[in-house]
Amino acid sequence: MSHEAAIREPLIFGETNYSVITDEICAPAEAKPTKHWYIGFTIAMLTLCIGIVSFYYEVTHGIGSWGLNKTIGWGFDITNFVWWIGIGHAGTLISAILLLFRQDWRNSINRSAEAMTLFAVVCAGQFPIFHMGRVWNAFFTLPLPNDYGPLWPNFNSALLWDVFAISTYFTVSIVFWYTGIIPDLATLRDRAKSKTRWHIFNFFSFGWTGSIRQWNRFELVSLILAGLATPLVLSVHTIVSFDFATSVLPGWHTTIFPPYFVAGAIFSGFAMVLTLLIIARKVMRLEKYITIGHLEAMSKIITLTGTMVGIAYGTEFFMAWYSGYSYEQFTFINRAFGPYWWSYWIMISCNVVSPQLFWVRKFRRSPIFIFIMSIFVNIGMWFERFVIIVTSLHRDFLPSSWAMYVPTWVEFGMFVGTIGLFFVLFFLFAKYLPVIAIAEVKMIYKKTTHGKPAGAYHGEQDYDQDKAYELAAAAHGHGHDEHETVGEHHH
Amino acid sequence: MIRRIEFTSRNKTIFMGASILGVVLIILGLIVDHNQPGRFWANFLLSGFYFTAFSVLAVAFMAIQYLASGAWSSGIKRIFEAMGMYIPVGIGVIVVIFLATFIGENNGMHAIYEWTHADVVKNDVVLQGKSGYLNMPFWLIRGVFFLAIWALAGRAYRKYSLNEDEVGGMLNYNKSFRLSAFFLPFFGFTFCVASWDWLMSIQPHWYSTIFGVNVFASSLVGCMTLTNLIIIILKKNGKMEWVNENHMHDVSKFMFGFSIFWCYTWVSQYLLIWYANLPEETPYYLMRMHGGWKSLFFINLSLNFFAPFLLFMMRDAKRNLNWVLFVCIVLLLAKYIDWYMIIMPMTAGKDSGFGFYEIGFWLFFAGIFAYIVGASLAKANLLPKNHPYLVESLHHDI
Amino acid sequence: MSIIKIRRTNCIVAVFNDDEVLMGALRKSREKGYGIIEVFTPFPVHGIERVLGVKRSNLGVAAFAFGCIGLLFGLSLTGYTNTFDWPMNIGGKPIWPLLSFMPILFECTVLITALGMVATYLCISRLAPGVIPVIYEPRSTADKFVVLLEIDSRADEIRNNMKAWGVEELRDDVHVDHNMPFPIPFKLK
Repeated sequence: MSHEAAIREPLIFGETNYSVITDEICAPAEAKPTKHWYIGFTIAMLTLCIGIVSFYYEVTHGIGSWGLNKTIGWGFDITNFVWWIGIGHAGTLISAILLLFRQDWRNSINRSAEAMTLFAVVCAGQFPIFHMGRVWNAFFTLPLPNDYGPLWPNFNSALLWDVFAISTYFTVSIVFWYTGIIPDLATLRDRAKSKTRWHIFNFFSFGWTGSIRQWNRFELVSLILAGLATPLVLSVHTIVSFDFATSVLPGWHTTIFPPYFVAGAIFSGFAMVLTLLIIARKVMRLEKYITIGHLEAMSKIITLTGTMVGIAYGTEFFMAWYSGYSYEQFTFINRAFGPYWWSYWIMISCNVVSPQLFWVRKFRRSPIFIFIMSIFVNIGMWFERFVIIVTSLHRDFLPSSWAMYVPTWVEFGMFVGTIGLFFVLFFLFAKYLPVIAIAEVKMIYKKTTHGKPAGAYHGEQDYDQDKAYELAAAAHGHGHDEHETVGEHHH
Repeated sequence: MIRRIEFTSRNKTIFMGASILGVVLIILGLIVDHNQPGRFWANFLLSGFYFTAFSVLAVAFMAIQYLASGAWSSGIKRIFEAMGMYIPVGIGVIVVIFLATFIGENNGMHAIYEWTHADVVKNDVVLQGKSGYLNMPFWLIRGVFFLAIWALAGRAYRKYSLNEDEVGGMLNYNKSFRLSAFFLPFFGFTFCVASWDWLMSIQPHWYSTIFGVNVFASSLVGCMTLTNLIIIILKKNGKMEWVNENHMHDVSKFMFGFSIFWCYTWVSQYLLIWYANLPEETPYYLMRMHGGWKSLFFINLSLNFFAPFLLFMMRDAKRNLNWVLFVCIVLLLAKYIDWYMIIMPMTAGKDSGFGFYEIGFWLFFAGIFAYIVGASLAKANLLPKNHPYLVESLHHDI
Repeated sequence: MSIIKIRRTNCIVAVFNDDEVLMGALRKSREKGYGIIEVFTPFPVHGIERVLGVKRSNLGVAAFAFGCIGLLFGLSLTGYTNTFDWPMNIGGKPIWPLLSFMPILFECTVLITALGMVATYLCISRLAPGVIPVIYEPRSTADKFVVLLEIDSRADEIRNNMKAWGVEELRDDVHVDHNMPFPIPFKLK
């Protein structure tokens, strides 16, 4: 029996049961691709081609084809890298941290968010690799036995920490994601209409049967992986922030960078999840499972993390003054009022100011509004990295070496190309795999829908908490909450 | 159903006795360790801040629970409400430290904060630059304002909650929810600022932007530790039968998780300062890693991180009453050492030690804290009635 | 103690439509002492391990062991390369700077813990690419809950009781689903 409070908004709207859930979620993965899918996929492929051309040009012509100079050694490359890595945080946050916090609403978005995470990390990885210039020597970053004399990587370097952090993060995320998708692949296998399809999905579902022992271990493995992935996801952006903060550069060296980068990563990651899911739920007709309530919950997290990021901006600015360190003070004044002032104010308005609109309930329950906001946040977070990197570098300690940074078409092409790569991968995922964790939605289905008073449902996807409370109290008598079973519930 | 506890005269005697014993020890300290105003006032701040911070976090934790629709904690909500009642004592601490400054050159703020000495500031360009922020009136105004708002929020939660017991309905829940939405960002910002004011500015040349986050993590662990302690005491006395090992497990998870988070902020601060090796930042750690402080520096890290990490790693460890009690005591000591390390080196300096002052002040505030919490718990039903999520807390099962 | 028996004996397949009905039937079966060989569900049903008396898995121990291995691996990797084999002066830091090796140690620990634990999980659950499972009801991964019951001398009683407790369908031990366009390969353990 479900003991969920009557006022908790249901996470599934509309008539359904286990069979319908299976059918509806599996449908897109079993049907032929739609026209929309082909159009979208083609556009994504074309965008990826721009990237391939740019990457090719960069490799054959060298880093000189970028707009970097002696003063500004990091520009679009690292900005894009940090931006993508940040986006790649939401998935694991949703699947790991929200699992530990028992947030049931994660169950219908974790699969797609995690897939998105993997693709974002793939995109992110391209930039440091290609920034090496001679990409064929990229294996120098690995501690391999070699013939160059005992030439080992320097484990004191924050950049090498990145190599380990991101490859670990990518591997563990894949393992976590794949562990979770095994039961759903078995569902697809058992629905297969042809022998070949059955064998393909059986191969990938590892012969899953759904026995109690398997589920028992599955749940424990998910929990332990969540426990591991939680510090891991924090560590990744922490180590990315160390790339900057271990230096002595004003604007980069500040101790709040680790948690502030993590908050920013979650912020941008959720924005990207919203961007994708608002479209996906519409196109794939999954509004029933990814409800307005889900979007609202994510909007709230955006407001929370946006505000945290805002407090961090304020702290940095205040501490620059408080430190009494004139270079630090100059850097921050230069950020806000120097030649790149516009990027600073884009950052502030997109990241700190605009999420505050979500204080209005009507806004955070409007998919179109949320969609627009999510784009703003994506832009704002890109500019945050741009501000941190370029404005801290372009006016360094020697005024004679002050410079400006203008990206070339190659850099734009590479950035656009990774966006294409990201969408190509996402389109393939959305077509061939179930975008919602079927088993996990079934797990919460009864808990979240049963025992909810019918009178509290308003309109298509609105649930009136006050009304629900009233109706439940009327149904159970006033002593409803002071439960008779108090003290009996010990296992 | 009425589920009350009685605040007996025996309880009152014990708690008041603890405070009085504390005062006696402080007086003994004044006799034995006389002429140590730095140590005296540093201890006043340390123990005063210790319980205040935990109480403030209790209010913030309620706000988080409301905003996240957290249900499991509604059955133990009265404990957070009772802890919130202690915050006004914090105002007393701030005001006493401020007023004592006027007794003489070595008292009150003068004993703790270097930047209050006019002659020091006169010869220090950096401190002159900060004097717009670090000056006595502004320090007092900020402190009292923050504490007053936190205390008022705590009272408001209490009022709504008691009213909810009477009238039921969603009215009070909705009020608490709205209050939380405004309180939480305010708290996040002001708690950081307060930690700079009260703790970081003890070493006025030093700065670290993560400092507030670190103090926040400590305080949350401390708050959860006290919550578990109160649950255990009540359960050992046969009260709170609706709270079982599942609730304790959750509180313990917060202790465990935020001990790791504390370590994360601690390492972030230490590693970055160690790595960059800037003369502006390193004195803070140089002072704490040499001489007699060195051993305490590593004890601090061990007790605050390794102890809870290893002692609470297994699932059953978080569910066993006596084991949790043991970890709670370890963590209470750990938090004390954490802030001792922040406050003492610059204030008590060579006079630092562990004697009458330390035990006396801690007992003094602990007695007041226990008295206020006990009295508040006894004033209302221990089980909040009509809370809309209560049903989930009563059937909490993980 | 677990009452689920691994050995395959004479058994019947009981198919349920609903998890609550299933739980009720399982609870009563346990009271009666029927042999429950295995239960297949489309999702983890909350509290079912308690009813069946399945012990909590000890995978946590495996995770801890792999964690220790990972930490040792990280320590030897960094220590051998940067401290022992070719020590370098990096910014005046010690040649064995545990603090700046810490991110590497952490990542190695997490990586090996995760990989090792998942590998253990796959092994003990007999999950691997290419494994051909025994499937009693293809819809047990969609919307059916399947119980494999041991048939002893009380065969009729078990059948009747199952019907009374809300079973949707009772079958003999058949692994091949004839509704499928092809027979599912059957493998005897």
